[in-house]
Amino acid sequence: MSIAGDLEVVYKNRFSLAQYFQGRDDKWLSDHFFQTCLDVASQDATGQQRLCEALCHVGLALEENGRINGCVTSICVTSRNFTLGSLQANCLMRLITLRSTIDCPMTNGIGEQSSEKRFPQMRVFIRHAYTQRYLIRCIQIKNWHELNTC
Amino acid sequence: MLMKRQTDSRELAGPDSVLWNQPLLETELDKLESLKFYLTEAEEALRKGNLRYRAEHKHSL
Repeated sequence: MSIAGDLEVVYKNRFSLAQYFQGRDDKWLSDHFFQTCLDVASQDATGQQRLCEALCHVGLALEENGRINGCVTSICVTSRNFTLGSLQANCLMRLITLRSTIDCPMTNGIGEQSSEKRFPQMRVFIRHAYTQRYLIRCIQIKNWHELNTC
Repeated sequence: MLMKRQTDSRELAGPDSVLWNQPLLETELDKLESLKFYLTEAEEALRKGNLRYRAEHKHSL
């Protein structure tokens, strides 16, 4: 028994705070507590699932703030180590769409940097995205079935 | 720290910013209560963990 068991309680309390502020539209506070969740989960060698969860939420927060590069990094680390949940899968689809928008010559213009130069993590990210495409498709099909059965 | 960050970001954003419409954290008692509750729980867990860790490793010191 080490301090790891107690880091789980620390994480849970900080996560509860992040969710509390998320429900009250205090984005700066929820972002702060998701970030501290990530800090706590990073110290805990036994909490891989919590680390994944924290990375996902920090990634989504960065996406909302328009910090796509940071979001790519977070979601990329998550997708490399864990199977994706629907939250991450949806975020992944948005990032792929964004990438195709940036790469499109109609919207980009000649001489501008490609998205892979702008976001160096993107190449790695896309590779992992492709390997998980089947899973995302499964999630979409599952959601579709759930929608139809409602 | 959070209160200072909020006032600093207001000052940085300038007088026309929408941040001035947001109430200060120090005036929102229900939020402060929630902060106190969860952060106390977290700190207590961390202290207990540290104590247990020290007790387990006192012979190796």
